[in-house]
Amino acid sequence: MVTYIVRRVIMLVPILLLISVVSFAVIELPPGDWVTYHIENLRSTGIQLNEEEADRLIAMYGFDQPAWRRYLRWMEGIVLRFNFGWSFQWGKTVNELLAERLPLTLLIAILSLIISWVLAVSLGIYSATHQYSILDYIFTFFGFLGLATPGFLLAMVLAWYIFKYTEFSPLGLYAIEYMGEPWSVDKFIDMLKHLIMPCLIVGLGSTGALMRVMRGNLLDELKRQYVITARAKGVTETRLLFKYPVRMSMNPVISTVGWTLPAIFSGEVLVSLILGLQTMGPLLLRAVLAQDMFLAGSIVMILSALTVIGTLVSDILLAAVDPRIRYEGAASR
Amino acid sequence: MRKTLKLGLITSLLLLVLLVAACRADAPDTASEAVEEETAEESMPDTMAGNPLESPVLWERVASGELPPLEERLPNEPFVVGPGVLLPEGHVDWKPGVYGGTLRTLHFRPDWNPDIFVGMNEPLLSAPGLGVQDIRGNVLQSYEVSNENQTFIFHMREGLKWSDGEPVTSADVAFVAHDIYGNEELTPTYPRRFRTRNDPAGTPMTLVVIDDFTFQVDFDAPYGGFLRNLTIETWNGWTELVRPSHYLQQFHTSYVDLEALRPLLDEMNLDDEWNQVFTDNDCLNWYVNQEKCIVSPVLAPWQRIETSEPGLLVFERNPYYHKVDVDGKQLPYIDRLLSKLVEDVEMVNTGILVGEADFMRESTGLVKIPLYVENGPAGGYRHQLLDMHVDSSSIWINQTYNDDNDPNAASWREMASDVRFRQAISLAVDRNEMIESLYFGYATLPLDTVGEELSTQDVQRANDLLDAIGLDQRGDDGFRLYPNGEPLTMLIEHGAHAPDLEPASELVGEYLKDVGIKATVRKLESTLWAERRNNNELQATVFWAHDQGWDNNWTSDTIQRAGYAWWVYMTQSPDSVMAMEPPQWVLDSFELDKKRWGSVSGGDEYSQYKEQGNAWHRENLPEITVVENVKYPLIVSVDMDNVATEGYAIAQNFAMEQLFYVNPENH
Repeated sequence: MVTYIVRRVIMLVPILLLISVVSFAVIELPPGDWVTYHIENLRSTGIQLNEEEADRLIAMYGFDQPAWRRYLRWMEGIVLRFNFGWSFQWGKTVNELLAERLPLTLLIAILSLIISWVLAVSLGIYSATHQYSILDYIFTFFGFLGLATPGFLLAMVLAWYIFKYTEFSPLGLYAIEYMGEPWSVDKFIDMLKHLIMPCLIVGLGSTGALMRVMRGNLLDELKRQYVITARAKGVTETRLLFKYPVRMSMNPVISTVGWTLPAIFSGEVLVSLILGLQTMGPLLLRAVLAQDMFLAGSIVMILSALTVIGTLVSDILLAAVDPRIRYEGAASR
Repeated sequence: MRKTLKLGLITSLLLLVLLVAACRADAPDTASEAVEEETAEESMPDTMAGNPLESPVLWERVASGELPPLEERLPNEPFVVGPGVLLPEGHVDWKPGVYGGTLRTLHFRPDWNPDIFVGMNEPLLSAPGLGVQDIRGNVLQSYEVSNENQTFIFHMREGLKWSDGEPVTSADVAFVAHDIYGNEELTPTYPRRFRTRNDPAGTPMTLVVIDDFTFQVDFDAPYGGFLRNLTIETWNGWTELVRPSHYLQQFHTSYVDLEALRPLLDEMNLDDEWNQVFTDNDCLNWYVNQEKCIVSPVLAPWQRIETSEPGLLVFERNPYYHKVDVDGKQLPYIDRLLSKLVEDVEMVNTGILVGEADFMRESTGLVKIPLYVENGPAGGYRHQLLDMHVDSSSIWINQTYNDDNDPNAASWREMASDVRFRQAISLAVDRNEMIESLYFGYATLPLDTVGEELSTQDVQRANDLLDAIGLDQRGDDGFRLYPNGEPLTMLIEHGAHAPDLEPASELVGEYLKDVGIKATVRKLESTLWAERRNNNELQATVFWAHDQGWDNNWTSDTIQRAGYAWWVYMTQSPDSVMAMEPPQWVLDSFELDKKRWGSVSGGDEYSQYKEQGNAWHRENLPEITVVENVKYPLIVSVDMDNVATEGYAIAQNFAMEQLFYVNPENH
């Protein structure tokens, strides 16, 4: 087990390097650079920069240098100083920007993850144990509805109706009156009110799918012979259910950890965009649009790295939780 | 079951504790504040808690000695604002205002709110309503012109201070002239406005400091437009000649050792490029919205302050601002500006509708007026129609179009550079229909730049003109062919910069089909649009241009729209791969501008050159203007006063320091 983990970790290094090259190349691919974007931006708002000012900016920010030099410099900063470089559009370091947005991103992601897991697992169990009951049909109906409804659409429709009927604008993290004000009870309550919607929407987004998976798996397990045996031996129904079949059917939920990690970090891009939340997702989108290359490259790289690490973690977790996987691995070796 | 109950209990307990903690932390403060407020109000009548000529938000800081008293913060002779000063007489019903309130607005690009930028910008000199008449001092106090517009002596405001309290002196001017413009690493090419007649090939100025508050600028030929170049021309500000040398020296290798900058270089992942560190800390007036202007001293009415919330911009009043009203009250009236980052221009408009903006200019649209009217009463705002300083749509025919993949590019250039082709296009367009459907009647025919005859639709004449220039053959589909028999297609590619560009392009495409030109309309992402334009690959487009009636427009600016390769030839380098040698009429426009720059702005000679420029435009049609004098809805809070009712919206935006709330306690 330990050698296996060590081997996987060592394998990460070349993969991460490769990811960094690809991330940088992807950002460099489109024509133009941040300076041209910036100048266009000013121009489109009616401000005409002189040509010499444009040349000055291009030379100043090193865009006249070859791409490989900029890449090496970027990597040097990350490896030697853990400095992900400079964001041109925000005028500060990428590290600062990420640090500013990480708390909210994590808060929303983790809260919605809890919502979705709690709902999906409990409803899934109920649906499986009460197959073809009225509530099962209702959960199934909403499960499919949730699966088919894109989160951003739900966000838009809900935001509009909430505003229309309550005059409460659920956009942003708090009402504009509280922005820039010191913390107070009112502000805290206002923030809680604003947090409910994104957490619910992001959480419900994955609930439908997880619930269906949970229900299907549990139904398979419930028909197994060991369940019948246990029941015949007089194990109480609740104890029986939670001790074995539920545990077995949790496997797919655990294997989602691999892609949950980057998802937690990036935040739900579209939902955040619509609800005006300053999380990682909109930051990435803006960076890509503005060709703010170090910022975009860094986020893409971190996301890819988290995917790789998340996969590793979920492999290890699965092996730890499920003895069958552990033994299968030992047998084939 | 019991476990879940326990869990639930624990979570709710935790929440409760958090709540209590939050209350605790806050409660004493609010209580004491309330007490203070009460006492302040009670004692006001007899003792006066502070100077009534400054905003009450500053009283405490003055009382504690953190700020010197108002008299020491203002220059000896402040700039006095009253009726007809910031905006021309008649454009606004000016009243003295009251202090207080927060102005809320929205932006959708990181650290860039054009409305706040325009409202905070302070040029060295200024003129009412952003015009060219009556240029007077602003950051600088006054000027003397002699030697046939070659010698300019400037007097600075004695006692004027940076926002950190340091005096503004001629040392700040010398620093800009010698250590910034005179340093090749910071200024690779000497700025055009400080060369004779604004000519890229002109001789740079010579600047001599006379005493602490006087300096002299000399040119080697008459440059009457120089003063105007120190007003808002191309949106410049105080930083053109005055920057805080006491602050910037710490980033300049003429004053500090390169190694002292090492931590900053490391932070930006740089080797020895100290000039990038310098630029990153140099708060040019363009960047008043940005983080670097939090620390750097400024001369603007407000200054950005630190907030912990990402995307939020907060600005507080500059206690050293140099303008006062007629009663001697220091401006601005409004204490704070606040701008929230939202996703895009549509979300800005959603924010307006739900009442999140007290002031909005740049992102509004004529097409949204019905929505503004419907939601205004609930949201507490109204819209004020003012003039737009850009012509909102204009057809560009790129006469130098070159795309290596297009075998017909040469035929296109030959056809497009015949003025009769451009006249035919102008005649094909039904401008009255566009004015009605796109601009709700708030626009006029382009009489200045196109003329009445060519801006009235005449399909027959358009067809005759096209036939006359050898486009009389038609293909099987009924559309015209080039003289060599190849099919003629015209690709109109437009960006998404403004809501009217798309419908305007579509309509133009339809009108062209009526005269036998096969036009295809395509919408491009704005960056791609710019990229194709910069590569001279745009055949035709619809975009806006500065209004010819606006004084900040120059005749030769139209050349970038008439033929991008000519523009490259004239403004970048004739040796550039893309450059093409322009014909005489193009050169004429640059000559005309040079003469206009030489004349005194706003004078008779100047106006004559400007009128010649318009005549040149009508004769050559470098671009085909669709409409002129377009209106623009400015969103303002219903409680806001000193709002202009006439003139350019952007001029009102520029005079933000005189806006005030009638009931500031509600904002």
